Amino acid sequence: MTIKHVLILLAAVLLLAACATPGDMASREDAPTVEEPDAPEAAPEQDTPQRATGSELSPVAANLLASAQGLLNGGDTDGALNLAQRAHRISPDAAEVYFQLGEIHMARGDYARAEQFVLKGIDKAGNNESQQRTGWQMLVDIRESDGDMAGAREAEQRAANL
Amino acid sequence: MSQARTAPRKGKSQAPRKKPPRRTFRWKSLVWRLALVGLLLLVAWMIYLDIEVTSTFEDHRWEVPSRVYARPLELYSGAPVDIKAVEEELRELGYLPVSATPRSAGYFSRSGSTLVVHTRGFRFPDGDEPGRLLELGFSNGNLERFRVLENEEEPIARLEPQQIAGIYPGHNQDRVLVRLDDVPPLLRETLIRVEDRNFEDHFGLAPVSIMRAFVANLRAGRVVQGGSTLTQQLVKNFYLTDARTYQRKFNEALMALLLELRYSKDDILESYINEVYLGQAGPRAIHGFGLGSRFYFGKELQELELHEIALLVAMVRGPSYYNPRRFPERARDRRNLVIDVLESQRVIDARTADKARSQPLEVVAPPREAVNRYPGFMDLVRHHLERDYSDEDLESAGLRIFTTLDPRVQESAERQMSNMLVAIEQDEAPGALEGAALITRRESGEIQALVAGRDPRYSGFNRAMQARRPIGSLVKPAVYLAALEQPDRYTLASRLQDEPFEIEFENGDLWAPRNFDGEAHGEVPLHRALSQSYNLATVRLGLDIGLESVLDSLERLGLRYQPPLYPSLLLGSIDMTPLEVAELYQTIAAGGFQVPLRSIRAVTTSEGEVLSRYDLDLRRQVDAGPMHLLHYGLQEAMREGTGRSVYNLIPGHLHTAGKTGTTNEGRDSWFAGFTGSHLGVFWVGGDDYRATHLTGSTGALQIWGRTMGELPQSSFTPVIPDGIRYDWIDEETGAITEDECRGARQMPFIEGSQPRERVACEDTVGGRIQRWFQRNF
Repeated sequence: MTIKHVLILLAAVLLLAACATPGDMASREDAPTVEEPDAPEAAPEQDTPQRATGSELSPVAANLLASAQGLLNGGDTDGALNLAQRAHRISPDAAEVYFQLGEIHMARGDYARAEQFVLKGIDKAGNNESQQRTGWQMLVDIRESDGDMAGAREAEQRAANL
Repeated sequence: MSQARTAPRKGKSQAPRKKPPRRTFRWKSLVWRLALVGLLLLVAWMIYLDIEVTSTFEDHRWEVPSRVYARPLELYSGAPVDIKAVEEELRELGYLPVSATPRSAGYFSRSGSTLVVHTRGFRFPDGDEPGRLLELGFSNGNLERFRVLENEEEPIARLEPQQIAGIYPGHNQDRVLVRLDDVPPLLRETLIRVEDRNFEDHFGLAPVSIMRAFVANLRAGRVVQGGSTLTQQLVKNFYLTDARTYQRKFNEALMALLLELRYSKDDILESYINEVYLGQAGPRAIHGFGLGSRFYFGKELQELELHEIALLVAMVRGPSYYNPRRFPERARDRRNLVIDVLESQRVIDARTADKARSQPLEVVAPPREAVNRYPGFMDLVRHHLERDYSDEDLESAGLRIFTTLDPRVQESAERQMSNMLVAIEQDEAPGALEGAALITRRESGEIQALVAGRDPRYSGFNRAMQARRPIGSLVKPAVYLAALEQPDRYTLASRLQDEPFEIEFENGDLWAPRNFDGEAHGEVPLHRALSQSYNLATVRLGLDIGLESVLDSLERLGLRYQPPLYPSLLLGSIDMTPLEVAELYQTIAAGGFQVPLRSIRAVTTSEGEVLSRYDLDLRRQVDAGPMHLLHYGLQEAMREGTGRSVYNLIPGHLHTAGKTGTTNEGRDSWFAGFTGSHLGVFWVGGDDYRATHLTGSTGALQIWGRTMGELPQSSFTPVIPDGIRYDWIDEETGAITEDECRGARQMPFIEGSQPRERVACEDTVGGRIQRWFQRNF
């Protein structure tokens, strides 16, 4: 095999390799890919099956949450809950929705429930540290209000570690 | 007898002079006494009737069935709904298409991929949604542009919800209550002019009319004519039978008088408008103009035009005889007669009358709310309502029940179930297979669809709620979860032995589990044992971590009763209904948070006051880390494992997670899985537990895939939680290797549990170049 043949082969390999490179991995460092399945007629995957970042809140859900906050400030927790749940149906994977629901339950004095919604929000925040911090700080407030001082310190520590 | 006859004669001859005055006295006294008794009887009768009239009038007036609504369709920029679905929803709601911009509520126009809709207002549990003019632009299967004309700031609107059922009292009367204030003045006017011209002035009876009818009846020798006022008609509808007797007429007259004494004209007219019988839809009797308007024109009462009002009033005289759907000519003649009356009495001018007379009847097909469209789902709604409401309240208090049902999802699941059962039962006797399904919103647990059997209109055995069947491999995620919650012992890369073995019980019985394909696969990584649903490896794993641990994970996922702890539990020898399975998988789908399944969002009074609300709730049951690992395994099951054939039915880019389940001899075919949008649990099998050729993937999964394939979907792409790292694992050895190495796959580990062993990546020069390229670009 001449050098020319080797170079052609190398170029061909590189070209194939480039074609086989999955998309936007750079933006999702941690996100893995999964092999193309052995499924007949399956179209190639267009994105990764797991994500490092949380889901974005849709503008209309953001609008509903803002209105919910307005009602909450005015003391209408039922009204706020209605709007936040509407937002949840639109953006059920956005951390902000769960934080808002947590805040509403906190305003109602239902700390146990508030904590659960905030925990869920933290799960949804992904690698967004600012959102994670928001969540842990909310948990500090909720746990303190509930008299769980040890839990509040732990949450404080989690927020500080970010 | 002969002695009795003779005795007075003797008496007569013995005391002739005293007899006459005594006889007069007795006669008068008798008359007086009889009159007194008659009067007392009449008074008693009047009192009885009065009690009857007042008590029944008050109660009966408000005996209204409860209405059950589907979810409202939410419209906003980015809503995952295409133009076809919105048009279908509008037609279901009785909106009529027009060519120009709609000028009043209940109409819409379409131009290319844009809809302009004039919505009706609606009172939701969380407040009033005003009627608005919306412009909706669609592209790529989504609502891309949403605009409220006249108020551009508004980002979202809701259509009124479809009514999917009514909960009727025993007599099956249905009505939509209207207040007199909301009744179009023209309807009131037309009704009075046609049915009872002197309504405003009389005291319940119209003596002239009665005399006229009396004479006519006397001549005919039977009752041929009525001189009834609206009050009398109301009394007749309320309290009396249809029999045309003088006794009934007498009672009717008395009760009409009493009603007029007790109540105002407006009260009586309002009751009449809500009570009047206007037709029949199967067992359901259509009462009142409010419902009549919807039933015949698909419109609200306030939206009716003159010719439509005239038709409704025309039908009062005989709703069956003048039924415009069955006898359009007859109905049209009588309608025009009503218009003639209005014209002759100068309620309307000649031009208006001419125009109205020239209009077609414009009666719509009977709306689908006329039947209980989704009896299977309604079973669930009734079941939930029973906790908080009595039957009596549900049947007569006019409650408004707002459910989570999505008609589009429901119709799709029903259709796919019925069609696919026919297709997959080729090897069986026709009709041998049954099925059940539940579809929920993945994160909220709202039940969007429930299919109770292959005939969705059949109201009877509800398989989704009542068919308790062994769940087979659907139990396996609980086994693997229990293992993955012990990261120091098990990871996705752990090696399991998929080799045959026997267990001997205390009573001497032997149990030797087998794989579905009858093969043993030797040493396999844990993730593959799950995605390929290997029985031998699973039972070994489950016995190693202990049945108690598996039960604990099942209970945290939502199992509500304790099954017997036999090793066969690890292969799903536990009986559950599709609804119970959905509860379990909802916890998995919602990332380890248990989310109660809900079929109802709220219940309000007919006035809109909220009586109950059923809000979103959740509680963490499984930590995010182990749940993420389980999700990975269930995603692999769909891409590479027992669920992979689903990608013949859904787009390749749609990420899903799920598990198939098959029980011995194909008696049950299960699939439970989710996309980003929906969780679906499907079951197929024979009611008689017959053996079939089906597996979970050739039966239930095929219906799941087709249903999900025709609904708007988002991918299930779980967020990688804190404390999870991804490493490249060599499939042969289970050791860490270089990124992108051939024969390696990237998989998640709870931090610290990743394998300690490393192996060099041994592949070709080309492979190395490719990996170098992939790492750097």
